[in-house]
Amino acid sequence: MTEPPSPRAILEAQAVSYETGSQRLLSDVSLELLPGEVLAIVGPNGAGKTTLLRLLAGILRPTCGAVVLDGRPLGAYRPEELALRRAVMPQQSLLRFGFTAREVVAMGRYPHQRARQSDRLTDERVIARAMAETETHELADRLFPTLSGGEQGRVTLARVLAQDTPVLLLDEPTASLDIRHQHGMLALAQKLARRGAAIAVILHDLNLAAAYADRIALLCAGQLADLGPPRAVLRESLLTEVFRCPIAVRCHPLSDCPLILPIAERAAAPDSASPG
Amino acid sequence: MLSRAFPARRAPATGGRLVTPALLFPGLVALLGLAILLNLGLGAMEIRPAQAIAIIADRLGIPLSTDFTPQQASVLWAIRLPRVALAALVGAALALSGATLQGVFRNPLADPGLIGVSSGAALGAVATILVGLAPFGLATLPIAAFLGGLLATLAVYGLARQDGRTDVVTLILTGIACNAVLGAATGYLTFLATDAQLRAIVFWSLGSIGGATWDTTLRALPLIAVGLLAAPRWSAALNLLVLGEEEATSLGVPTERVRLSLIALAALMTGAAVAVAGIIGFVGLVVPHIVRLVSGPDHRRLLPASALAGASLLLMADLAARTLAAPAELPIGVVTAFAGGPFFLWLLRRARQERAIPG
Repeated sequence: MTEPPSPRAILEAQAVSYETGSQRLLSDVSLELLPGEVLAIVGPNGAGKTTLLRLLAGILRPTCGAVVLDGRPLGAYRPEELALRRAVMPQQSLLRFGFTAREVVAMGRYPHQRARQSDRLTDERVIARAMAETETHELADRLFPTLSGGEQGRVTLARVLAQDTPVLLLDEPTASLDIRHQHGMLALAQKLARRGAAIAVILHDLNLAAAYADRIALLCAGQLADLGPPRAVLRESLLTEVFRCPIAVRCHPLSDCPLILPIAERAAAPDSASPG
Repeated sequence: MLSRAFPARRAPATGGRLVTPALLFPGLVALLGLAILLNLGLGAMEIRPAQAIAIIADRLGIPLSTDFTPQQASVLWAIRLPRVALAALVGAALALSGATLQGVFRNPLADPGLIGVSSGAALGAVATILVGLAPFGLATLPIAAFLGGLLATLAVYGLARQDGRTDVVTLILTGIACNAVLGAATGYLTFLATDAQLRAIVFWSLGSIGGATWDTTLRALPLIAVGLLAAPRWSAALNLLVLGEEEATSLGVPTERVRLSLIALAALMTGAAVAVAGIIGFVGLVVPHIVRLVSGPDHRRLLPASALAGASLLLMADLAARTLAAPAELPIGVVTAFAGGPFFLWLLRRARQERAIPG
């Protein structure tokens, strides 16, 4: 299979490292995020996935290296300019005030209202579409703090969509979702990418990454272990080494994507159960 | 659009609000008007609402047909009106400061007292009374109170902040610790004070607007007006700030600038209020909570509504302070704390029940 000609990267990490105190959380990671793709960031706990995402978002500044958005380093943007170009979905929301779900989604329009680049009608339309796409319109009048974790996640995604930016950075959006909504959310991400969005998403479930990502960045101990299409990155030997757990990779019987199977390490069977 | 992936599911639409927000501002303005007329009219000398209006109109050169006595005119003009104006200003300042700080600290229980601005302002004022120097004339006390309040708030904010985050419990505990230190310093100064200074200090710590004159009112007006006009300009940013600092930043809010500006404005308003009226507790904490039940948490409604409600509430508290034990006068801080304390307890219980909702 030949690679399609790659379009120009919209967001690019150039040999970024990040240190805090004496700890090196990320070292020398380079990757490009292209318009039209879903890039999954995977790796074991503490591999530096969230740190990488926050560097890409401009929430953290790299200790070395640079992150470049549309040809300009992130540091050269003002926060309000950045908010028009990239949206960030956090791992969990800390909101404790009783805003309704719809009011939370409407907050995504703030950067456009501030830049006077939107009118009421556009705002209404974008908000309605974001809520329809995440099936959150039924939650519109509910108070955000009273929603379940999964419902809060979908409302937060709707807020991120309402920001209407070419780059979306999602930190474990599927974390507290049931299996149907996990697939719904990633199918939506894929659809947005086909419309031209550039999406980086942290995932814990390798099978979700295999099914929906165009490329996978595998992080291990703060370094990029591999980067490429799912088929190339999701190799038995590499996954077993990175996750330090025996993993088998098969072909999914019903679709054409890799199927990742952790191999359970059973304790030795008691004598009575063993034959002979 | 993703109807296959997200099939429709009926969810109960409970809505969030107690009353429709459409009635909020007309209701608050009517309440304020009523509170002003009651305060102008009741007291040792009765002045009917029509007479009050006629007296004010007469001063402005518009003669009305309603009769009033010269005594009524001078009582209204020299005593009741400045007192009403001061009570309204102080109430609006305290309530708006509370609503603003609760948003800035993402904590519904923050108030100017909890984060040290009141005790800092009191220390500044007591120190001024004791030192007896007045480099800025009559404005020295408000300036000292303002600076004390600002420094104390910044100290609490700085000490409670860790790794760019302000933890709710840490903040409240830091506030308690700083209040204790500032209170001890004020206590030490009180110990050193002469009898005359002591009387001035006691007036302070109980809180009163009984000493209101046009002079004190006009001294507090510019400082409080700056806050009343400037703070609501940040309300859209404040809405995002309660999502969390990182989320606000990624939505384009210059978080540090917004935070520091709003803290400075709250310290300015509270400092000015404390300077002219002493410490009046619970208004800043309680009023935004009552208003939020009706307005919801959107700061674009909450901030102006809190200012209006705070003005009304302090007017009613002042009315109670000067009529309940007439002819004696209760300190207004005693009245607001008596009413506010039980409400605060109810608030704590309610917050605990809300957190028990299964996530």
